[in-house]
Amino acid sequence: MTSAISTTALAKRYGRQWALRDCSLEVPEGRITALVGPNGAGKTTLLKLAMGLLAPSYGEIEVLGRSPQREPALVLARVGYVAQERPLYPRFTVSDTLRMGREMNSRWDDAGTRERLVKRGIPLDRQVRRLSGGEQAQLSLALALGKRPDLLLLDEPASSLDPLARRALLTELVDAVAADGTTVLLSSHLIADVERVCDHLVILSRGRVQLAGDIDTLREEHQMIVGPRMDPTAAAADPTVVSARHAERESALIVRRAGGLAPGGWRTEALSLEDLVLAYLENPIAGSRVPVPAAEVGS
Amino acid sequence: MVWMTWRQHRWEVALGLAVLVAFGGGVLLLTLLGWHLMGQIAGACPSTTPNPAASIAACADSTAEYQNGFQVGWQWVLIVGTAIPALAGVFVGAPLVARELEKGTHLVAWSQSVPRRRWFLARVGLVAGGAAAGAALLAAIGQGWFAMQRGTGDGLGGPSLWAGFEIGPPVVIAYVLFALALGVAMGAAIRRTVPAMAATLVGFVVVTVAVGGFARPHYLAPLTSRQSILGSFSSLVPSGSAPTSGPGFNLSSDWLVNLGIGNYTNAAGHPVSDATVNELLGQCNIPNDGGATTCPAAANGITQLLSYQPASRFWLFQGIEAAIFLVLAGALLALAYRLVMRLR
Repeated sequence: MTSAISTTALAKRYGRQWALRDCSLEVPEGRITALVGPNGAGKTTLLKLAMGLLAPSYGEIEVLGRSPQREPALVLARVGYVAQERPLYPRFTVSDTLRMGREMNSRWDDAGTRERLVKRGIPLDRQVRRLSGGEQAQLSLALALGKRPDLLLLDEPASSLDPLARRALLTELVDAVAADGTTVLLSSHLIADVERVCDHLVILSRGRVQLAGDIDTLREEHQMIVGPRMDPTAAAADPTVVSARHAERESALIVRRAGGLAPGGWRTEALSLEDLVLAYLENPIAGSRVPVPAAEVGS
Repeated sequence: MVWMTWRQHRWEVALGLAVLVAFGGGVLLLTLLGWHLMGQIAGACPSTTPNPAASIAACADSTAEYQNGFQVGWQWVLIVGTAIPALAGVFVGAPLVARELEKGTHLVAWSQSVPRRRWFLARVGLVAGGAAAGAALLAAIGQGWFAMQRGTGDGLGGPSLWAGFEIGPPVVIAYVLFALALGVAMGAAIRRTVPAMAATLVGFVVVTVAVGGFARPHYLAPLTSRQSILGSFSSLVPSGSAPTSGPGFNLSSDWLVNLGIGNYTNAAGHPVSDATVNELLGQCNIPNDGGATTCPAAANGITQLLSYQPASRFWLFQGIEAAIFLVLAGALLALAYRLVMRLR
């Protein structure tokens, strides 16, 4: 499978602060990939690097086979981007914003974009600053989709929206990209959104990739097993244990064992995606300790 | 980018035109006032000389009124004429990049298919073109005012070309482009709109005052001339009996760079001290009724060294000053371009 984004040892440093460090990952083409991690994990930095809005301090990044720094025109024409704050020109009307999209993008889909906004009941003659937060988010997404991108980068697309607006936005997103097979990389810290929309997952923490893979595969590989209390140091020493919680009489482990069965005396419990993600985020070393076979990355 | 630039700057275009129209209207009003005062002078001052003593006072009054009004008007035109380029830098140049960065909208602009390089060059280029057109209009208004004043002010201290140096067409256009480039560069460096506006205003005033005050007199070495010290009384004598020009120097068309106070010689060519000159001038009798000023005989023949730039150098100096400011503008835009491309 080819990659829409491919990074090798990518790093970004602001002064002495590392925003992203030794980051090597592949974002598969034609999929909706979630970039998950706590605040400050480097998600925004990674997306801006992919858009050429930042330059890497070290390492390489290729977007659709091109360097965003050296060939900005080729990358920009094929990649849509919505920044975290969803900036728009507040004094532009919705129509002005669409006109901007038409003027500044050669592959602009005027009719489709208009239809998308009208369908959502967004008045075209209204000033952007008078739109609700949800409508502004819709307009931002429409602007990014209107350039008919091969790759769509969304930084927290549904954050700070009420549940209805969030659902509407994500539905819009899934509908729009399903038809064209657009690759999407979206950052989020809302696992529920990720579960609804995404089929591939990258966990980023403290500027490093903790885990990457297809969500279905990752769920198959990971198990929550509960059994008699075991020695915490033994659990910590086991490379397949992602996280361990020890109660008085029981130990609950999240383990990564492809096709593995629970050992005798242990039972398997349901493992939600949220538990899985949190296990890696709470325990950042786990990701680097579990050796991920090279072929598996981004597969 | 043309539409985008127009959409983002259309209010500035409207406001700029309004300012120019107001300026042109003010200039026209001042001119009409000047003509009115001229009519009074013509009525009060008999055209033949020597003047009957009775009418001299009335003539002197209306002449003084015209000259005072003319002074105020001329200063007003010069101040506004040089303030407009500063306004262009502060209100158009400074926010151009700074407001985008401040509001985060650069992330929208720079994530469309137009690469950042083209975004910057097209936007700055179009705005600079518009500003240059506005500057040309401003220069035309200034020149119109100037021509009307010169046409009516003959013999009454009508302005020399040099008095309007700052609103000469090449210089005005260069000032506007410089102010704009300064604003864009300050905005890209400071990244905040209001501080960038303040820095632009301060920078523009400092640079224009420094160049005008220190560099301009020396674009070419000034010519020198010796002039009778009594010539400095000429403006008090309506009949113009005292000499206003020494050899080669003409007060009404040349730019007096330095009056050369302290560099006096007598008729024989020997140096005369400042104290002696002050004492002699203190003994001059200036009658209140408009009669001729009389000074001690010893004052006759004392001359001072003055340096000046002749009228023939005016357009050369305009070209030199315009070139200086265009080079500065180019350097500032190159800096702004580098800053914008490096913003990551």
